[in-house]
Amino acid sequence: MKNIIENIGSSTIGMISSFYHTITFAILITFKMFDRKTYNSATLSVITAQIYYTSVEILPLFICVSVILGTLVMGILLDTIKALGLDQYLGTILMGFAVNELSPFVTVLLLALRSGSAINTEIAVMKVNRELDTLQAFNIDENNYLFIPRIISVMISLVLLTGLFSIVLLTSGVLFSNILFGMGLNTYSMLLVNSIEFSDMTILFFKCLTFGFFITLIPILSGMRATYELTSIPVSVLHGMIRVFIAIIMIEVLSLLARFL
Amino acid sequence: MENVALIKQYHQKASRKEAQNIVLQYLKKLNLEHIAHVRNPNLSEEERFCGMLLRAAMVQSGVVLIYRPFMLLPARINATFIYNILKNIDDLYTQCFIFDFLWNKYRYGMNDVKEF
Repeated sequence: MKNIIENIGSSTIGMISSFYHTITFAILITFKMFDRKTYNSATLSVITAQIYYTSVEILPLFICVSVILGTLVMGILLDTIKALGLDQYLGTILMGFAVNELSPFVTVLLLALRSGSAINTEIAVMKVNRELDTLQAFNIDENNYLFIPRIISVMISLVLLTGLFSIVLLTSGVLFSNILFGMGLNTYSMLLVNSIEFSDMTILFFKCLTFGFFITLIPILSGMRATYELTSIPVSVLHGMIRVFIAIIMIEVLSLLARFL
Repeated sequence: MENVALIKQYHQKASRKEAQNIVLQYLKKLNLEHIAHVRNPNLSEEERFCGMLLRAAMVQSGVVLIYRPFMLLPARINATFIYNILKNIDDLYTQCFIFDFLWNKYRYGMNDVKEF
């Protein structure tokens, strides 16, 4: 019995401590992101390279996923709207579900799987190879040179790729709205334009930025927690990815609360 | 080259191009311009040593300290290679110290060495 209570206590303290470290690190990084001294030619070239790795290299896969998933989801969604007789809410449902919820969620899952895990492994390998120690020896701030460029590039990529996913979804919506509702392109566009709300778009924008921030920050922190042994790399990636998925769910819930409260 | 140029970009606010030109100039001096875009695992022992030495010497008015260089250059019998490299980049550093075990003194061609 005593052991059970001790285990619960120890895991609770571990969770609180991990959450505390994540939040303090997030605050430090946020302050540094707005500090002009953080940026120099090296930082800017890393940002450019990371944007290429994160949002350009993924494009063929991303477009394929968005076309297949987008077409299927829009087909089912519009068919359900017709079956339930909710034609008058078509624009609101498309903007509310497809653009505000589905697009950022699918994009963040893809980027977390691809870039989040890659960044976690990269930082853990750098720790094991003592490359982080070398940077410190040369008085190069790892936050400025390694972490902030990666975080900024994923934040930018997430916003851009969410936009692309939404465009693909809404484009496939043209096809289905024509087949199911006999709706022309003009009517469809007007319907969407009338359903856009500034507050929703603002929440979507900040949600994408927050997703991008945390799906990079958490893998970085997890990579830094690796020890100097090679065996600590997979453990660090495993813990990092679990924390990333918990963070995604938490941000999603908070954004839903922000929209409906 | 990127890793070596990084020091100038950070500490002397050089642009990427300026810093890379400086590094390329020294790599040419060492007849190593072909390694400019080669990653660390693909370098030979000598090339890696030169890269690391050049990176250390990039710190402005730096004092270069080399600890047991023959660990990185096990195939070298004596220090002639190290001396030549250091001479080629001597405008980059103010002083250079090499620390090694006393029993390696014959590799440096000197007898009046101090023991620490």
